[in-house]
Amino acid sequence: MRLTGFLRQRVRNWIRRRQGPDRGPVTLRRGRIYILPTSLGVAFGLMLFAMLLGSLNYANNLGLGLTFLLASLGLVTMQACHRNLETLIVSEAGTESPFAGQEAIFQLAFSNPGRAARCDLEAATSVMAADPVSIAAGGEAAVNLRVATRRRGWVLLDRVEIATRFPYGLFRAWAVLHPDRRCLVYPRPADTAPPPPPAPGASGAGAMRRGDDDFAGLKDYHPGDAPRHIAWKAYAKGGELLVKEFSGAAEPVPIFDLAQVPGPDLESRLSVLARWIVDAEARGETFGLRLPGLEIPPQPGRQQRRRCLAALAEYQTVGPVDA
Amino acid sequence: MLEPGEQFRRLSWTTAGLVAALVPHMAHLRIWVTGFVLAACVWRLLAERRGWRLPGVALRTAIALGATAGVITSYSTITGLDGGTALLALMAALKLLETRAPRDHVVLIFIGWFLCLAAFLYAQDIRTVAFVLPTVWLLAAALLEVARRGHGLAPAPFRATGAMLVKALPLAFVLFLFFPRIAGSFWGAPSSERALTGLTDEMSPGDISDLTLNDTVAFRVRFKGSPPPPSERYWRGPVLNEFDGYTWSRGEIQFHDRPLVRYLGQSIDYTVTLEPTGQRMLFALDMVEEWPAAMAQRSWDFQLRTRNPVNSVLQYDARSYPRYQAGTQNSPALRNSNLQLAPGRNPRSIQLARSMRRAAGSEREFARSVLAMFREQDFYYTLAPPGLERDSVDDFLFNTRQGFCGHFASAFTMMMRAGGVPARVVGGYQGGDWNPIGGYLILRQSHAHAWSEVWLPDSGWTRIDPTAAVAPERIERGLTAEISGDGLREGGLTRDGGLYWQAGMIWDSVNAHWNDWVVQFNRLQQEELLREIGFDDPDWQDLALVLGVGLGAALALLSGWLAWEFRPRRPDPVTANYRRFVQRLARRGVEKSPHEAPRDFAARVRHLRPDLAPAASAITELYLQLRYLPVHGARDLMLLRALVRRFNP
Repeated sequence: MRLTGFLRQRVRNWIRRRQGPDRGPVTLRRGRIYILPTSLGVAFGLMLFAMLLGSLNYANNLGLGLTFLLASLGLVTMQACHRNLETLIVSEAGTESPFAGQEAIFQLAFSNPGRAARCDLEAATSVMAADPVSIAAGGEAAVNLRVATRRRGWVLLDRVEIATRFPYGLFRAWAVLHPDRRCLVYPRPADTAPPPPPAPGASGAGAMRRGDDDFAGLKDYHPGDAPRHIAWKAYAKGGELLVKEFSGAAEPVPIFDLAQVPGPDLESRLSVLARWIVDAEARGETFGLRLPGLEIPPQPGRQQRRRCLAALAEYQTVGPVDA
Repeated sequence: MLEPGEQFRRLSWTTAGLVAALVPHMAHLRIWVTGFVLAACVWRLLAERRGWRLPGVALRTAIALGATAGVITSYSTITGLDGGTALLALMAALKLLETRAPRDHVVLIFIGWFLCLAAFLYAQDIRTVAFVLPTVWLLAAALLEVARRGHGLAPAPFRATGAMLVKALPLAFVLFLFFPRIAGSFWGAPSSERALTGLTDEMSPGDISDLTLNDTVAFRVRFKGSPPPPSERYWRGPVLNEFDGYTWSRGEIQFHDRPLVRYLGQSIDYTVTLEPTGQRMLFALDMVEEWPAAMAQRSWDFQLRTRNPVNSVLQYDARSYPRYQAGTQNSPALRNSNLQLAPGRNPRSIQLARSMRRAAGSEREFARSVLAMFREQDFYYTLAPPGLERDSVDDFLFNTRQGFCGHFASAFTMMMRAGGVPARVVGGYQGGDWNPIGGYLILRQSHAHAWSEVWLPDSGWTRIDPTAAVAPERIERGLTAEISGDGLREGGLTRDGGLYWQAGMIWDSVNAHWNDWVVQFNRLQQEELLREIGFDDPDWQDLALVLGVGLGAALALLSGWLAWEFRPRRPDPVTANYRRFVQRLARRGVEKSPHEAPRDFAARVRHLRPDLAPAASAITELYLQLRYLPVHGARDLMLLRALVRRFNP
């Protein structure tokens, strides 16, 4: 067992060295498709060998013919199996960050540029496999690789095998991708959390909240800005997307501060912060986040939630965890 | 996990393949074996449908033991071809009873393929192949069905498998032609004697007349020169030396002496393709001088005996001399063994023979007088003679006086012995149908014949055919002409002329070619083939070379074929136009990265090349519209094409 494990690791390292990391869509070319008989294929081979011996022994030409026909069928399925992967295009389709304990999803998109359908394609990491998919000629399919998570921090999708046993299961052809994709796992929001401390009033350190009251000027559009603030007229004239900025009366907004969160350890305190952020965003409130060495100014919205949760997830983490 | 319907589907495929593989064996399997397998198939399918529980280990073990015991009882072995096939079929049925996982299905399919192989060990004719090939196909389709993993987009198993089998044909053909054949065998060939129609080492009155209605081909003969006239076409088969008063048999006593033969006159060279007989003999024209020594030995009574029963088609070259002198220097022991009479049987015939011998001046004259008796008295040649008593010769000579070749040969030979002339009955085939389409002679079971061989001091062993004395047409023109008046064989295949006759001859020559080129394809023919290709003195290395090159070519053909099937689709005009736009920008240094959405790319173009911005935006928006909006007209596409054509940064 140990020897096979060692050999497997050696082979994997060798493949990694010769292929290099993969970025963007990868077309599976001949050079990166490997193929070996499965145990069923080996059994089939043994059966053919027995048939060959029997036919030769009895000098039975039709028996030989049958043996050769089946052997050729085996070779055809080997080629077909290889072809089933060749020129398949695999691209990255996105990831979805989960909370710790949920599944991280790495999405892959398969597209089939050929004129023949491809059947039973499987994507797998060393620990888990996605359901097999089939793609019609010229079609596409999305494959979700689900990875169970336990801790916050980065999960790394470092090695994916795209494999197929189609048509007869006699051979398994596979290609290895090293996408170097990461997915950030947020800390799990605490089930019960004390209410966030009240905002420290106008005199506090809270930033001025940008209100909706008075138009203050235009700034460049950034993803996440509210669509209703886009200066459509300016866009129509100049073609550049600008966002209107407003300033309003200063109103105290909360900044969630790690230093102010009670709790036995760091993880549970981060969980409490996560709960506050999730709840505040759900209520449509504006909020900010302060961690030692990092401050995120208050903002409302989904984007802010993501930014804050990401900061929590990355706070004092070690290296990424291999999916 | 499989849905129940899915499992039933798989079971249906596998069971269908198994039953089809069993069909060619039904003729020789014991009825209980066939019945058990079919019952197991039906039961398993019903169990799947109705959700019955499959039998447990104890029950299965009991059935397995019972089946093995049954095979041993019925076949007295489990290793022979018959017993082995029966056991294989029963094991398949047992496996079926516990089949759940894909692995079980695979075992069943493999057994099915083995049954197909076994079918070829029984028969290698075209009909068997025509049935077994679809079975192989069906089993492969079942494997495809079993190996399926994903849902949806499943290829139709039968069609997809058919396509792959067609692709496999060139490879299989190359392998068949050039895979080295070995001489001899690794382990013993099946030695069980099988009950096949044809001549055996025994003859009782009436045996041969059973054969006369049988049109089955016994063997085919191709002559190097012109064929001998019908009166010389005596194909020697079993020589029957022992007589018990009713039945002639080959006899227990065999001699190691090989009597000298002097060959006279012209030789005849020919090739015989013998259909399986289940017997240990070859057939050859009298008197055979040359035959494959590895195949057979010529016994003291000039039969060609093989070591093993002929259970598959066999082809051999031989040379014979119609004129010969055999055994003139015969040892008395050999001669005397052919004087034996069944003690106390057929007394009247023996008495008659002795008085006739006394009246005749010589052995030859004695033989002539017996033949004259057959010819001149009221003896009748008929296909449907009455049955004979225990003293068959007495009954024939003095009561019924109706008989077939066997009766005449039997009576004549016994009378010769009674008169002190060594004599024996020779069984074989006489005559044959000439196939003008294939240019060869067909010997059918209906040509089976029996004659007599007597030892005369001046000429040695001499053939005398008493039937020829009674019904000379039988020898000259063949059986059909002789007996068609009886209405027994009206319009048979052997009658000349007519569409039906021609079709029969064409079909027979197809079978003959099949035997020559497929069933009998061997090392010699391989060498012949290599010589045709251009190797002067082919050896196994040349064979390996040709095999390698042939396989390489076939594989290249195959991968080209697959590459063509998987060739990329031509992009639709919308994509093609957009791609052209992207390529033109790339030439100006603005490259679109593959993951960049068209609008993002357009924004970047706007940034990098503000001068191109309006056109780029227009093209991008139009492209997206054509791409993603459900309805658009042909004019939009024309517009896109025009915009791209004019876009020349």
